[in-house]
Amino acid sequence: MVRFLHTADWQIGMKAAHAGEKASAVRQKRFDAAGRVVELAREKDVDFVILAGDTFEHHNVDNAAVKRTVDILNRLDPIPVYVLPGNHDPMVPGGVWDRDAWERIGSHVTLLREPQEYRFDDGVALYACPLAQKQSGLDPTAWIPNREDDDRIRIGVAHGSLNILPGTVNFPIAGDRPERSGLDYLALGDWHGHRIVGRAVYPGTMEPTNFSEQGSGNVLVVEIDGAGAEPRIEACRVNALTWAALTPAISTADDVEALDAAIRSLGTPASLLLKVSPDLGGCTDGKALERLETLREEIRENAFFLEWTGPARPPVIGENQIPDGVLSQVDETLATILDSRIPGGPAHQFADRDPEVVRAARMLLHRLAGGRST
Amino acid sequence: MIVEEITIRNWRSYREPHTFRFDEGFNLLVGRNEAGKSTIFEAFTRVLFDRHTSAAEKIRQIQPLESSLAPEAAITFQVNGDRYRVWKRFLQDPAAQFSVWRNDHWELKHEGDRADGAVREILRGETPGRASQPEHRGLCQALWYLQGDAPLPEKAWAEGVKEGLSGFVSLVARSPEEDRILQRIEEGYKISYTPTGKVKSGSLPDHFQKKIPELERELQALHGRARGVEDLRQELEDLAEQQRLKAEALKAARTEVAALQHKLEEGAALEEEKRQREEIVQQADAAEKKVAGDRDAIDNRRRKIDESNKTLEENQREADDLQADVRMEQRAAEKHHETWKKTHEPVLRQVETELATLQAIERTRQFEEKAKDAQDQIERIQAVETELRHREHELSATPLPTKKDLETYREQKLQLATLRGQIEQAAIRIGFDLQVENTSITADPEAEHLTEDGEYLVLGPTTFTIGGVGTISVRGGGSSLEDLQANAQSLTASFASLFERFGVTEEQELYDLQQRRQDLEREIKQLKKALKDLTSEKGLEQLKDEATRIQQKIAGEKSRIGAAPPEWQHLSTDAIREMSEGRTAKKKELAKAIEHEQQKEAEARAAHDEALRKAQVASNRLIELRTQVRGLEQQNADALKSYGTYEHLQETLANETATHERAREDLEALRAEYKIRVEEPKAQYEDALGVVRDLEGQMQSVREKIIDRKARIEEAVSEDFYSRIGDLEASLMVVKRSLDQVTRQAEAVKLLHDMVQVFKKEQTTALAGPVAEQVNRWLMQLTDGSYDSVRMDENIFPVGVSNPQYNEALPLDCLSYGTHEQVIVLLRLAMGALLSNDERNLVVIDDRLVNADPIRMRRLCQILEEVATNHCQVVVATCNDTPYAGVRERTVIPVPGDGRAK
Repeated sequence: MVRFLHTADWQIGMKAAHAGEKASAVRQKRFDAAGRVVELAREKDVDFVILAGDTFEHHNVDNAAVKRTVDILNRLDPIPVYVLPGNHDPMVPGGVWDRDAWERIGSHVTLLREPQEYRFDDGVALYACPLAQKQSGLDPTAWIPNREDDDRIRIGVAHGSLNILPGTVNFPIAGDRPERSGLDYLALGDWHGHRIVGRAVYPGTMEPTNFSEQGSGNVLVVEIDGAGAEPRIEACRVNALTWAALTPAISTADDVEALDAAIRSLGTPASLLLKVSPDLGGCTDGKALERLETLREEIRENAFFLEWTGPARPPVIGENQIPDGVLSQVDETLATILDSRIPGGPAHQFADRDPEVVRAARMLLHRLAGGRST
Repeated sequence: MIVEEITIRNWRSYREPHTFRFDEGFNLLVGRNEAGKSTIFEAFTRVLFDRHTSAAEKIRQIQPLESSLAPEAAITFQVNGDRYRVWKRFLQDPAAQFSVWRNDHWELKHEGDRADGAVREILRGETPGRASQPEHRGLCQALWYLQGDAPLPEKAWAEGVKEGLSGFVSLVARSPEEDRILQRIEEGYKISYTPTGKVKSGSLPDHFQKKIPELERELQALHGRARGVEDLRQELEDLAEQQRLKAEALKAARTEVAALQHKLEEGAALEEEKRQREEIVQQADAAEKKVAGDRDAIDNRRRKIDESNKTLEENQREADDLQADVRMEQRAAEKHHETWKKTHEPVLRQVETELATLQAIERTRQFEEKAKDAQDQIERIQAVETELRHREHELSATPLPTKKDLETYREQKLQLATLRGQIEQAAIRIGFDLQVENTSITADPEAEHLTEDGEYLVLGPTTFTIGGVGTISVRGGGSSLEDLQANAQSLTASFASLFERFGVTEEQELYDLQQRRQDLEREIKQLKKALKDLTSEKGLEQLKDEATRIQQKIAGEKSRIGAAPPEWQHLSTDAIREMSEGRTAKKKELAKAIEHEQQKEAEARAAHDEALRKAQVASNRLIELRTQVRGLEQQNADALKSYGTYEHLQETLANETATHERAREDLEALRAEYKIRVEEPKAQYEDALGVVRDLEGQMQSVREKIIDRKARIEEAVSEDFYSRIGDLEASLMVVKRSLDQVTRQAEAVKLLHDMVQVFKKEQTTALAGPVAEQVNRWLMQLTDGSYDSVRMDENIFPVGVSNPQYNEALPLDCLSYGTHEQVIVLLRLAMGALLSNDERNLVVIDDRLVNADPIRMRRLCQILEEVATNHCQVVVATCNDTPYAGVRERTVIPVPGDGRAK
């Protein structure tokens, strides 16, 4: 029986620009997750660890990132670690694998440089499919020889897209590669969500990388009893942060409370990266809007990161009492322009203003009339 | 707002406290120039609008001169029926108090900055940065026309009018709610925009707008670095590919080298055999060459012998010819020699002799002539010398008076004449008039008769004997007459002596002698000059010597003449010359002929020497050749000794050649095999080694480049720009998003603001009507219809006045200064009137009507009275209250002069 930890797509050094001011913190969190992988590996007493590609986001990642990764992997000593170059960190001259920092990796770590068989022991063979470029239409697993009188546990290690989706993909891998080549397990990397397709398995990224990912934040502990045996796969969560994109429809204060509850259910605010785009199309409730604003400020204060975009649909302008006089004239003019009509008198000069600005101006006026500050 | 009273102290000229109280209507502040009228208004503005803690220069200027006193003032004023009092002290221990009149006493409400703020709020002014300016006075700037103000400070006026009219609008129509919202809009607008509608520097939109290019620039730079790294990686990849290809090539090359080496090892035995065969060939070749060499040498020598014999024959013929030439030249030289020596030379000698003789004759004649000339010269000189001697002798021997002698004589003569005259005058004249005729009279000594009548001049004691009668003794003229006479006698004696000296008896003779002297002297001078001329070139002795030499030469020449034909002596000079010339020509001819012959002789002798030399050479050559031939023959004989005969030699050569040929053929056969089995592989081996070395060099170069690129990549990425790019991209995204948000928000606020302004303006523009109406009515009243209206722009800014006669407005600048001021005063009064509907407001005119003529002043007084009675509190400062007599209801407030407060 062999037990190993299968992980991939650590994307160390990723820019995380979409995390705004938290980009740097997001990058740091990935090291924390990697640290938890080390702990898990020891805890589960695995025989070896497979890192199936995209360990680094790019060849140009900071030296500190490489050093820290080396340090983390060195902490796995003496557990052997097999690191596969992926499409983000392919095996190219001058790449991240040539960095001085990587030179300090321990001897327990094997960089799978060549497409060849690597023997873990007499009973386990790894068939490495390292990538030597960022893009290709060729199947990197094509070279794996078929099983012939081989009673060892055969594990393929590759990085690419299983050819089970329509359209052209980068480094397409035959969907039936395990069967075709007689592999007991095909340890894959590239997809960030955990997915099992027969014996071909994606662990997903150990720490989510954006709002649209599903099923990320795991590493897999895999047990295979022997050649041909069905692998037992346990997904273990190691992620530090939760990313969520929400577009709640807000009409009433209850909707706001529901949103609040939904956010809380995602986890502790300090671990949440939230992207919220409220749909205010049906909202006429000023109180609800007020509550929503309050909630926004609470979240902004407590969450790890909040991107609160403009409402998907703006609220209906309320029936606030605009005082007679100049202001009522202004309100009337704004309404006329929003109606795509040209206001009369000296206000005609404003007819061609940006409707978004006009709407915002009217909302502001009503907000002020409602007794609120700008 | 109206003012009740003001108390000022330590304020410019007001050192002691002084209080001025004002009426609700028309107040006339009267005081002399520099009395302190404007100071009062200054105190108004400073106390009401300046911060009590201000230490601006303008505030410091209100301190009394040369003091460090703290200026202070207190103003009591009313606004909306409430009474307020504000007191401020500036500079030294600044303080402020704001009090409200409540329940019949002043209740202190605020102190310090709060007091400043409270006043400002009531008067709706603005917080000044330093000393307050008109634009900080709020409504008051429209109504107060102070000395320090320009008539129409544009911006301030526009703001003040707007403020004033907006205040009016607010009084008429603004609700607190509207006010609040407008205030919020205005605040929101001011956060992001300047009053001119530009994005405010430092506002959020501005900040984000400026930030974006900064971030983009930095990002671009970092992307550039990333691209640089990618380029390096690309190079590295290319180099890696090169390395791989070269490694493959090197491997192939090394394999080839090994194979070739193996071949070479196999070919080693063949090498030795080839060497041996080559040796054999060499030996055969040497042997053949030796025999052939001998044969060739013999043949060469034979050929040389034949050639030498041929040459000998030729040289012999040549030598013979040369000998003939020698003889011939010898004969020619002798012949020429004889010709000039024996034929021409004697004739030449003869001619020369004759020529010499003729020349001697000629020269003799020349010398004789010269001798004669010299002799003549000598004689002339001698003659002159003789003559000169004679003259000199005569001059020295003959006593001749000099000029000086004659001058002395003439002087003495004059003296004598003078003396005589004196004597005559001093002398006694005595005349006898005798009755008896022919009576003799004698004098002793003789007396001079002066007249025929018998008057005698008695010069001294004289006794006259008158015949038969008696004698008369006359004593004389006295001592002086005696002196004169003595002198006269002396002079007379001197004359006699002179005459005697020169042997003359008459004066004329003296003159003649003197003339003779002069003549002699002149002649002597002339003779001396003539002598000098004659001896200028040569002196007498020289001439004599020369004459002697010439004689000697003559003698010498005569000796040469000697054997000449006698008839030659008698020939004329021309004939002699002609004969000389003939002889000379002949001599030249002969000399030329001799020279020619001598030349020819020399040439012949040179040719002879040359021929002799050549003959000698030819003879030597002959000897040499013969020796050479004998040597060659001997060598051949020696060479043939080892072979016997020449035929034997040929035979031996043939054998050696055959042997050599066979050895060569064997060698060639071996070489063909050697080439295939050893030579070619060797060359290939060398080439292959060369290729290997090249490839190794290239590999090294590629390795070095790879190391270099890797190092550069390492260096580049160690700058950690990747995460920085991420951070920048994130920041940029955030900033752009923020910019969108704040821009939209700001634009929304601006849109509200702009719309409010447009609608406000519409309102205020409408409200300008009443102001214009009021001003126009007064303008017509003031100018008696000359101007009937004020033209204002959209900011209610007066730009001109209308004359009913013309269509276009007359610009304010074109009005006289007085009329311009009056228009502005009317405008302020109109504003004041309009804004004083609910409560009276204070209008201040600080001495602005000084240029009004009496008629205008009268009309202005009517207007002022109307305003003061019906609308506003008016305070006018003037140094002359007389023009304001037209304002009947007025309060006159005297302003003390000279700064001494009462």
